[in-house]
Amino acid sequence: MSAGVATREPTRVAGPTVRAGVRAPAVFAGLTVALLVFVVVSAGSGQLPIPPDQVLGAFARAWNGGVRAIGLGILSLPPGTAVEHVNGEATLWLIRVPRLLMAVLVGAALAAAGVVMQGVFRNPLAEPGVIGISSGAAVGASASIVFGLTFLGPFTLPVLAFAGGLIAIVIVYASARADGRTEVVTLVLTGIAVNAVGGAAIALFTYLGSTQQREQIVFWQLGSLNGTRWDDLAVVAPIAAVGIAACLFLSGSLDLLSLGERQAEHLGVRVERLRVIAIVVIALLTCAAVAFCGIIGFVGLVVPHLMRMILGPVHRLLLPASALGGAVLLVAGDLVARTAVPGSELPIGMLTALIGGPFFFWLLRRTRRRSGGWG
Amino acid sequence: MTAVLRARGVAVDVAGRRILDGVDLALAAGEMLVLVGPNGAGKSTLLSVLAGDRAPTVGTVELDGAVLGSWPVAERARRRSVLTQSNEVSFPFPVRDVVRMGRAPWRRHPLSARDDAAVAEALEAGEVSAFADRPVTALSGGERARAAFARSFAQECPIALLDEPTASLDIRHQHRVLARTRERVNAGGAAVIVLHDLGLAAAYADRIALLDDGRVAAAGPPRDVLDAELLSRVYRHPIEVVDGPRGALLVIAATPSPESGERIA
Repeated sequence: MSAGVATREPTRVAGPTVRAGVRAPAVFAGLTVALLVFVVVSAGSGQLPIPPDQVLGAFARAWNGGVRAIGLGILSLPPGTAVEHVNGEATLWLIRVPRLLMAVLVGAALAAAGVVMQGVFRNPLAEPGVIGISSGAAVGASASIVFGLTFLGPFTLPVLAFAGGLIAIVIVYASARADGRTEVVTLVLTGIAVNAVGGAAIALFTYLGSTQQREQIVFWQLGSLNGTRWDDLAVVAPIAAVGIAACLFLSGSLDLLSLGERQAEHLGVRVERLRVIAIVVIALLTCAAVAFCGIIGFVGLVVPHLMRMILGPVHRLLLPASALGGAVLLVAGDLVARTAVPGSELPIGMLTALIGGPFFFWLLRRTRRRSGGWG
Repeated sequence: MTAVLRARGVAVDVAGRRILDGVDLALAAGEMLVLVGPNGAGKSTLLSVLAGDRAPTVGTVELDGAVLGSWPVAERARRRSVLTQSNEVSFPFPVRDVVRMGRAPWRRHPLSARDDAAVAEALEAGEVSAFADRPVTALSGGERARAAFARSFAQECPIALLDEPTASLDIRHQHRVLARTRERVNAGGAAVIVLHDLGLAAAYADRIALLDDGRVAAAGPPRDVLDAELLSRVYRHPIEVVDGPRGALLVIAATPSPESGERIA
């Protein structure tokens, strides 16, 4: 069902598709380089600074250990510089690397969820935080914190967050659509309503919780990658990987869906099935992002927009580029959050909202100007 | 005559109101059937029933001899293309990409070898090549309609369903759209087209079905259906039909009189 075959035709001479065709490799290369640079810089920054060459050396040695363990020692790299500080390796592997990987996964998951959501709502302003999915997930998560639920072991909190997010998105999707698309006003207002109810439920759980639980809920809502453990990654990584892979699988149908639901069906898309899959995937990705790190808003809005401006709307390119861009944004954001105030740590959810809020406002203004109303 | 698309006793209720009632229509290969009728007569509803968008409350629709619903969505998309009235694209895809989306049903199919040729022909048919690389969201209404026509043309289905394809087009493009559809029909295809312009209907249709309040008031060759008395009654407006140059039928509506009791549906 892939419709966006923008880059396959060699005969094009001008226009946005050609631009995308030339730009796409550059964008992917640029984002990859940016991601690697930020990862190395971020891994070396903090209360215990580690120079970049030592970080690279540590990564190379870990890589070598890995490839030798699976019998591919031929892929070994030069071992590089040793980490000087006595606690350097421990800091790197127990604290910073899991946190960095979490930033990568969460950023990619949120951005991919944003792309799919905008595609399925047929509205470029849809975003998990704006329409209340994040707070739905937060309700599920705080319930599991306050009631100390562990019936599914380490998966209890993610599963409850997923359930909450899924309920929220089903409500929004069912109520905010008219004639197969969602008007901006309806979407935003529905988001306000869902966020209000979610906020009330979270407030109730906060009220019911013990001091420690309250703190957990409050910080969870601010959003932070602090304290990420390898165990958390083991839960989030498969969910995010499956979710993002599913997004890529949907990309052709999402292109067709932008023509309209009836129109997509006329072209052979099973729209009803697409909707259900998309909604589950969105809930899955949002929950993967939100479950351990709390509410990190606007990533799913800002990143897909920037990528759409650069690469055009073809989902086959937009989705992977946004996932990569989301990872870069969150790794960079987390670096700022950790280092902007010495000896203290800013909540990253606050930082993304600080950038995303004005961006959302600008988009809203632009949409209004273009369509001559709040359509 | 084998019908490629057939409605049998179709009735549709919307919110308790009967929009279509007892509609029997058959479309043969090589035939161009035009649906006309006043606003609210059920033309678009009938077309959406024929397209499979809406299940009839009563009756059945058959596509190539089997009940429409029994065809998988993907197979339907290879047998009939649909051009709807409104075609709003929610993201700024270039026109060329939108037209290429018409080839989506042929993916992983031997006929996908025709993709490039079909897109090129469709760009030409809709005369959209000049703005093929512009985002579809930045086009005027008429240009967007032509891009949508080109997309459905690229689908290259034996059956074409078009809902008011000429509504926002200038004279040149009205005729271009109908002439290209006519060529397809002459080559063995079939088309059902909703039109408001009775003159265009007379010029291009093999058969016209005149809908009135959800029922087929008349169906047959243009000269039979476009009867001044019948049209005046159905449209509730004085209409004359005269012979024009080169065998054309001219449908002329009288200047409205205040007491004609117009109803805007």
